[in-house]
Amino acid sequence: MGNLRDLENESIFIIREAYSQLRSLALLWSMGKDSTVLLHLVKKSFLGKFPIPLVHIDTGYDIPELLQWRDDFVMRHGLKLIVGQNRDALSSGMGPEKGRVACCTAMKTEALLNVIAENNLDGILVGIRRDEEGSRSKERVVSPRGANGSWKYKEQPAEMWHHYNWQLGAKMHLRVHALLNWTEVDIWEYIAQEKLEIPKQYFAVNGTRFRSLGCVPCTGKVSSSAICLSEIIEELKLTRTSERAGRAQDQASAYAMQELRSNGHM
Amino acid sequence: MESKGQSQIKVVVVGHVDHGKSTMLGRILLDCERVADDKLEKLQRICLQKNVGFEPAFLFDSFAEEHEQGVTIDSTRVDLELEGHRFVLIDAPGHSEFLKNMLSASSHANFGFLLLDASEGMREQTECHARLIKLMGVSQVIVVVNKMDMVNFEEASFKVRRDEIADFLSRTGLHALSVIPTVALFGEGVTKPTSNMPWYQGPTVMQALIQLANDATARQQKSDVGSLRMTLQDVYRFDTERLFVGRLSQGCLRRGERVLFSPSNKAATVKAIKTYDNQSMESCTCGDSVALILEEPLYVERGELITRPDEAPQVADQIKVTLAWISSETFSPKQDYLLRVGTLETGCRVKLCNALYDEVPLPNGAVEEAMLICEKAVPFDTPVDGSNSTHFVLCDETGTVAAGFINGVGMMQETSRVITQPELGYVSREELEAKQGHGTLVLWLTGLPASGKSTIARALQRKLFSRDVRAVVLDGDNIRAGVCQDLGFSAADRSENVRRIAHIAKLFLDCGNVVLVACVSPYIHDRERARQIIGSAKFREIYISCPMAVCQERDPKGFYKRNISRELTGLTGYDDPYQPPISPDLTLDTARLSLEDEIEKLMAVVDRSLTFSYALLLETDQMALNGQKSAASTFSS
Repeated sequence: MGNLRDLENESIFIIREAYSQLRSLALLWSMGKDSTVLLHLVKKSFLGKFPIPLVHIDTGYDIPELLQWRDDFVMRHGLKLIVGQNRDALSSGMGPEKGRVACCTAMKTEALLNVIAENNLDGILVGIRRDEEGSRSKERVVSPRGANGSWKYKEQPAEMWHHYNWQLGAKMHLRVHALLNWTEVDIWEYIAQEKLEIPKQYFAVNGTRFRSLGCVPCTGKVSSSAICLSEIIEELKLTRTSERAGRAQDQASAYAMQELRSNGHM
Repeated sequence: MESKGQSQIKVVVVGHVDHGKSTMLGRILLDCERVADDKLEKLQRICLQKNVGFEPAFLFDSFAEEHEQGVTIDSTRVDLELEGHRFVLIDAPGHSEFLKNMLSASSHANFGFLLLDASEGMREQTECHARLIKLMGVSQVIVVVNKMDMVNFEEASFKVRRDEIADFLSRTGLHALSVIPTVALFGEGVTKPTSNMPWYQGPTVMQALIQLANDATARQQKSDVGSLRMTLQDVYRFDTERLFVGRLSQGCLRRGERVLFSPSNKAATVKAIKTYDNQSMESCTCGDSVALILEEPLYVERGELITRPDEAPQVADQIKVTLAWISSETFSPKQDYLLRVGTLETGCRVKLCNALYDEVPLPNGAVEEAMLICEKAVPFDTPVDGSNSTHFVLCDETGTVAAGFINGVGMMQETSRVITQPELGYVSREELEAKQGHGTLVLWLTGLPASGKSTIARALQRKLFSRDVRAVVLDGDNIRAGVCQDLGFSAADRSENVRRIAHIAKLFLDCGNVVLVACVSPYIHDRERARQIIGSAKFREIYISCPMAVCQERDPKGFYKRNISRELTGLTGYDDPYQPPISPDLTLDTARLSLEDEIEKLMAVVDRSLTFSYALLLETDQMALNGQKSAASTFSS
């Protein structure tokens, strides 16, 4: 309990630092559990106001009901939403069968970089966490990206105490990872504590559920009987599988996520 | 900053490259069964492809380059819950090239594992890392002597390493909680006792870790203690209200309290403390991110430090620091750097104390004392009881180049040189002391208005008078009425007031008196200068401590009443800062003690000091005579 409060306070501090130090900030929202927690924390940071836009990258392969849920959520909460989509790639037939890494790069990374350029953003809040997978575990809270989205993971800036680096070169942007130190269980306990609305796909139906939400062709379900938050938390404390085991792009090769992320993937 | 209730125990592992840091952390995760099956299978596949045995280090190292070269490039951390404690294990690279990554990792830790290879012993990065983690605020370490299999599990080899490291640690100021022989790759001495070293009876690494957590949890009961410190991040204007947002790094704050903003030196009353959805809270504590609404319409910006006015931080534009240089860029005393302290940013120049670096470049990883000359004044706290206080980073256009802690005000020495009496052949203080039969001393009573300084000074003078000790009282109010008539209450005028009182006190001291100074003297650096003027052997700082509320209630001169009605402004501790002494010779809590008890405690200080003077008399007699001789010879020349 004390831990969630520490995490919440630290995340709010980071969000307020980013808002104060950057000219144009947005929140990358996938509708998943992590970025929905982040959305809630942004609202808390500004005492119920929501001074930054949301960005959703629509790959064209998202779960259709989720898009409906998205529009409904945005309308009810009076939020500003920017939807990014790589229509050229989609119309030229890009899909996972052309290679999962190639598809992710086109549909997610390029679409995101286009939104950043078009909207002149210099920072985006991203809900990644260290415990998701290896390359994310090595991240900084504030992580610079080059003009082409590149992450120089071998030359990350020093990040001491809470002195984050806000320096920006031309055409660069910063990824602000306000949930970096949260764990998967922290996220679920916080969702329960704050009674957050989350997509129903996380709850088990007929013995399976999504543990991590992604594109339909590349996201597998886990077998589960968890139909409420407390059962999900219980299940996660005992599980022997990792969170992203059902994400096909992660399994494309040993270092697929490192490769994707060094080129600007979230 | 993160210290509340069941707070996390964050442990960073440091030491020379290849001594087994990531391996040990990986082994802990494995043996605690905290690794998912599919992740384990994936790593087993990678190890198989590389034709190496299973590498526990790969649980922390995850870049392809790290696996290929068997080296940690950047740090990471993993949460681990054990026996009811929440641990964060922080891996740090040992290669000198990645020093800034190691420092970034250490800045978040409150404890350390200092690891060394039994066959190689202390190496360059072992020493460098030990010094750096101390600078970053880690003072306790568990020492791990790893790869004991390389020295045939010999006790003698272990003892050599243990003595070597003990000697080194005593010089760096790090405290070793235990020294443990291990073979981390196989978990021996880490997660399980080792049968190969029957001569070792101490704890395993895991046992030492849990012991450390038990001790730390016991100590952490008092998380809200300490003076309020909150950094101002931003000021939001929502609807008609101005919200001052920031995070408490220490202490607590209640609605209705007075707060001071430093360095702008503006004070206000807290009207409301708000969180999400405009809910109001009665109070907030260390670690909380909050928004304040103030009664008065203040104009202040990001960068300010929020405190209570009677617990003000020090503020200076020249500060003494200890820094670690962590850049491959060349240091230059002529370059402008950006200093970041809390949320405050200011340009500054850096003067290194060690003249060596006028000649040779400052190496990456060097820990040095320096003076920072800043464009803006910086609010800060100095270390108490060896703990670290205000940290900072220095940046140039390439990023962060240095990090460290602030030690104090970079004070200008009092320039006017007052020549002491004996040098001119006058009767010396020592001669006076011998003749009159008692020593001399300055008791500097500092505290808020109406805290009881004058009352105590008067009573003490009476007491000394009755014992035939010559004592004079220099009362701040009285001196302002005469000698300092020309001075007001600005920070500069307050400094000058204290400077003059210090010189007057020195004159009376040299005339054989016990001098009782009763003066608010709100600034630490002014009192430090008074100590310099008087000489620290004869100077005793006495903190007359009394809660603001009690002072307000007493209010013998009606200051507080007139202040609250705004008939009078600038009252110390309410509108103006008061910086409490960091380590006074005596603290008198006048809200709790009776006047008799206070005098008794003060007399103990006086007696101790004056007796000390008598003991010195025999020596000083001789010195005074010698002084006279040399003075006489000066005259004759």
